[in-house]
Amino acid sequence: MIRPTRVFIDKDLDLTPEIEYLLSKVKPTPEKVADSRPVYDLINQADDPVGFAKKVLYITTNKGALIRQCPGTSYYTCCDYTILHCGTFCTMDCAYCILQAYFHPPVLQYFAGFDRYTAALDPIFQGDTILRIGTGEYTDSLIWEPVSLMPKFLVEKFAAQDRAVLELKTKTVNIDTLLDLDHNQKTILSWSVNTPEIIASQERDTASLAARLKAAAKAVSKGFRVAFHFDPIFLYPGCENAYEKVIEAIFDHVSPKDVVWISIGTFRFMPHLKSIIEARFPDSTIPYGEFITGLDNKMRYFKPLRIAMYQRLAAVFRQIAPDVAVYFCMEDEEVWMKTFGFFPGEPKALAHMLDRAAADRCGLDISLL
Amino acid sequence: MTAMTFTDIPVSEIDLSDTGFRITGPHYDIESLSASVSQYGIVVAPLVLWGQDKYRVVSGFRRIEAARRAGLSRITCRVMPAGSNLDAAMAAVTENAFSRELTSSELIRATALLLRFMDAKGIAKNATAIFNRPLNAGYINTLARIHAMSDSVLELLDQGRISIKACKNLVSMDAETRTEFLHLFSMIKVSSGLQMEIITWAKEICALEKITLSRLIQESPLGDNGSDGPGPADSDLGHRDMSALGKQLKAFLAQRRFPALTAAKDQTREQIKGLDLDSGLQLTVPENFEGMVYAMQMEFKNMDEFKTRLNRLTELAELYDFKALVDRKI
Repeated sequence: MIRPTRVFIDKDLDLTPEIEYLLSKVKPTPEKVADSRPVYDLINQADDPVGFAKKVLYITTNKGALIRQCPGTSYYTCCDYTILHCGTFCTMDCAYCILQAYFHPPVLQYFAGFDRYTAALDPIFQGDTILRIGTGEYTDSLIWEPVSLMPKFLVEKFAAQDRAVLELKTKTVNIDTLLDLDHNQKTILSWSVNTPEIIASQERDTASLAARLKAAAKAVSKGFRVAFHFDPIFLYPGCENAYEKVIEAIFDHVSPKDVVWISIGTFRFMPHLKSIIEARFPDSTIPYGEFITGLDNKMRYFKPLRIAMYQRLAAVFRQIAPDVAVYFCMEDEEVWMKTFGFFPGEPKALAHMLDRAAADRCGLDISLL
Repeated sequence: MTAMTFTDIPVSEIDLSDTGFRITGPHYDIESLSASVSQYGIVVAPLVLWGQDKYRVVSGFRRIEAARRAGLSRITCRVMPAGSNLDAAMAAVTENAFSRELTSSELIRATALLLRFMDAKGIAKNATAIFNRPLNAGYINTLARIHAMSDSVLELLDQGRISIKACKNLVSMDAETRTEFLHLFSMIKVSSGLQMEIITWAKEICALEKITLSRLIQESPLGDNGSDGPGPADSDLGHRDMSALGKQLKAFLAQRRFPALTAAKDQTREQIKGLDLDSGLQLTVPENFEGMVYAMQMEFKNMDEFKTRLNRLTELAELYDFKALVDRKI
């Protein structure tokens, strides 16, 4: 939950209904600032800037591009996702969270301005390509739902067109204000999932697996399409059975026909995240897996271990949900071939596969494929 | 700065057992210095401080001991008046720091000495003038924490068995683990980089397996070499043995920390060996088996050799073992 102890707001930001709603939902009186410097200085002086930043909300506008391509990395195959950059950082506290190391320091920012989003999205909605757009790259998409009109605005915005899907990715169950919206199946509510052991030990302040799946079932009952992300997968004794049970649990709650896609990816991290995890989560052993330096200079599990895990999961997916698009986030040809027996190696081939899944499940304009 | 006088004083009136201002280590070869003093006398007068009934040595412990061994009864010293302890501490450090680079253990002893009279910020402010190098307060505090660990750490530093970087890593650990690591490093001699790997891997193995460092060491190649208690005096192994033992320990920890990777590397090494490649052919597998690109390097001196090795490559392409290697049956 967003429960800031300090709220900062750009002094020249208009008090629109969007801002007024947000301010009415957070307790502290907002402090007006000319720029981000005082916020950064405040966070940087904390003993634990990462933890402290979760309690400081900065309401501002996005000074850069609202629409961005997923940065991906070299060598490994990316799904060519499009990011709608509407906020940064998160109030939940996952040991493995890359945002701890990605921002210097991390700041819980809300990027206001529905008119700006409209200006950025309308050309896409009138374009000649299908796009998969998500807000969950630099923040959790739905931590904002209890305090902001943004998720509702986006769901309704996407509902009025048929060229793009919006994916709201979360570890929360904050979907109540969205359920009765006219979403036209253009919003995919998606959950990052993990085993109950990992959620309990590495994902502070997140919803339990059972709660996430219950929320997914509720979303499906309201006609939403859903997606799941097994990312990051951790390798630990007994993990194979544990992750298989998660897959089974998902399809105990939702039907494969309601699932647009499922991504899988084992834990990988920039090397300097390790010391941050050690400092902030001293009991966590997740950075002590059998990692090697990948070709993108991130630490990755030794490839045969990744493949063995993926093969186990792929077999379960084939059995339970053979028609659901299951894909890797950032893996290479060998992993694809040894797991799925094919490799979307052509440029944009993986993107096309997922565009097709979105078109099929969400009613996008198939002529654009 | 306190005024000092050159005074000819009896060696017997100098208290060598008072090491309060000493920053040099206790282990050194006194014989050659003693021979030099016998032949040429003491070239640079030691610095002493007048105490209650004896002179305290500030700088020149080795020279005075050499003089005593050489049988000199009186030597000329620079004498500081009683009570000028802060000036004496500064002098003890600057005399050494401006004549040569301080060793790690000397740096630690020097900062610990100065911290008796001033805080870390004060030392940092004057570091260039005292140490002939800049030092920040955080680093000085870290050195102080290393100094507080145990006497054995300074001995290990003196002997080059552990680096400051490794010590910095140890200060944040609990006392028992620290002691075990010092015990471990008393038995081996490895590079600074390897010390860090050993600390990291051992720490991570213990965390993963929920075992103590003591148990891990007992299960390692050091298990048979450890004695009852920690400390550098435990081991009477020679330098070569300690280096070999260090390598064995590294291999043990690597295997335990990265079992699948180590096994794959071992297997691949055997597979390549089994291919019986010519000396002019060298096969390189993707680093850590992550990429997909293999490399075969061929050297040749003339066309005959080129053709011979090319034929060998053609044979290899048909070989099941080679295919299995490239297909990564690991």
